[in-house]
Amino acid sequence: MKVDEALLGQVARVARLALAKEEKERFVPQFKEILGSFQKLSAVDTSRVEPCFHPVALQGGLREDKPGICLSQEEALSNVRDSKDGFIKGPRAV
Amino acid sequence: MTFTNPIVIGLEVHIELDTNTKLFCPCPRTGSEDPNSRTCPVCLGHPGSKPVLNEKAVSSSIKLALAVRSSIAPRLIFSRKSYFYPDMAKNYQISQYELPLAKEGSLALESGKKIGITRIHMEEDPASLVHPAGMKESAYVLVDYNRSGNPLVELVTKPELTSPGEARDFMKQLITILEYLEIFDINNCIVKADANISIEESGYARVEVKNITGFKEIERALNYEVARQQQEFKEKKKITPETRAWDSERGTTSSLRAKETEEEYGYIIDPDLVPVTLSPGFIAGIKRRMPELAHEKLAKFQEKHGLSEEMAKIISKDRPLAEMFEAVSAAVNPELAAKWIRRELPRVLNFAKKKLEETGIQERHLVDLLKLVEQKKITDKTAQKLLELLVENSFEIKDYVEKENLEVMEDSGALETACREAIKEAQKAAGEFRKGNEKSLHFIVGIVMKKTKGKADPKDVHTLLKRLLSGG
Repeated sequence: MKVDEALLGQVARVARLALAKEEKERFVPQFKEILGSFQKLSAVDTSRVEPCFHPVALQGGLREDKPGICLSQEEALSNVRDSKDGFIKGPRAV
Repeated sequence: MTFTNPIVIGLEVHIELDTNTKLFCPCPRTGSEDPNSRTCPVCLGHPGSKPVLNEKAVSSSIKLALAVRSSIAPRLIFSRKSYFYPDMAKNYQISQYELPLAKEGSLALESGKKIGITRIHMEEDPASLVHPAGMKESAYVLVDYNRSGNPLVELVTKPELTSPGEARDFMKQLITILEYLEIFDINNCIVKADANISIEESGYARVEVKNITGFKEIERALNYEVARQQQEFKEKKKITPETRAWDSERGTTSSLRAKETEEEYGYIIDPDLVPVTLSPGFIAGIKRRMPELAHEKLAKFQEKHGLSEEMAKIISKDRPLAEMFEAVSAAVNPELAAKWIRRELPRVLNFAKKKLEETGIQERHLVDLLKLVEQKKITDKTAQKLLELLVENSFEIKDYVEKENLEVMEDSGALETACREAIKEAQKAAGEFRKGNEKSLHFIVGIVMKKTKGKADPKDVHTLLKRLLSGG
């Protein structure tokens, strides 16, 4: 995979981040380093190893369908920068 | 895939499950409509909060998979679908991707045509967004996280539907199954479909129409989309694969933003949710609790009870009616039971604007009522009146009939007197009848029925009046 400013731009677009030119220049080598490390890991033959998604082998963990206590509207909005009539106000993304 | 039909449709149906709580947290699924009043750290995506799976949502989804004969996965594994949009506070939706709950299966349309199912998986509903100045014009969105985290089961069909009408029928059949399984309540759950539709003229360029609610809407939306694509083709415009939104009010579809690709969603297995083993014993337990489904009842009603296909179809579609029919037909003639359950019962329920389960009508009421009809102890008219009363109040049929003296008049002398009086009162109609106008007899029958308070058998009245009028 070619790691360059175009790829970085694509990742930033999906994450809805606006990167400045100098940020892109700074991040490309960092991306290369990170992805390079993963490529090294990918080189190991794991075809006979079961994938491990969780560090601890927990099982089950189902919850009974019983209602619990919710946050109040005031609590739910307490960390919100901008709200209106009980709604959280956010940027449109479409 | 090679297509040959002029129209090809595949559906992705999102079904909201009828649970008390959300999929991963104990916030109530329904209740207060004040925005952001049914939330907690989990469905608001607060750092450190941990999702815990709702058991009822799991068993409901398995019921659906079993009903459409899907193969159920041995383990439940959830994935994070990452996208950056205000309807998911975590910036990912917990869904199933690599290993869905179930694969394959089929669902039959009313015609008997089977539509293949690709997969069934569980996921959480995103928050609802309000665009105050309209979808295209609004500078900001208002977010309500009450819906965020509600349990959805998504069913994806193969592209085997070949008309908007078939898509509508598919949704209808699916809703019947969901209601039979009691995992969906049409009054407080939403069923939404995204439809992939392509036409032969465009070389089957796949257009996705999102956000269609209900089975009537799906036919409307797809009819519009077929016409739009055909028109574009006529105008020699290129039909490109794209995502469009259905606007129910305007009755049109419009192009949406270019969506992320599967790759861009960057799916990873969710490390917060522990795997759940779906043991054969667990699934067998759910299977045992499954009711007989509509298509099974349809076959049984025709084969075992001898009902016509049309009658069997109507009764089997509605679970409470179907179960009522089964119980009642064990005690009285099935055709008589079907006639009353198909016609009279829905008539009085519609009139009273009530559902069967909202009334006190039980199987024994109908059995007692129809036994009296079968034994000709009460007339149809009396039975209809009793049913109308039963919708309002529960009472014992036999006691009531006795107390109110509603049994058919067997006293032929009294009946003859009533008939003679009626003829006297309706001289004009009697004359008409004598001149050969058969219809005028109905008028005189009506008078007799009124005089006898509906207790006379109309057939007897007919015979007797004819005899008296022809001088017999």
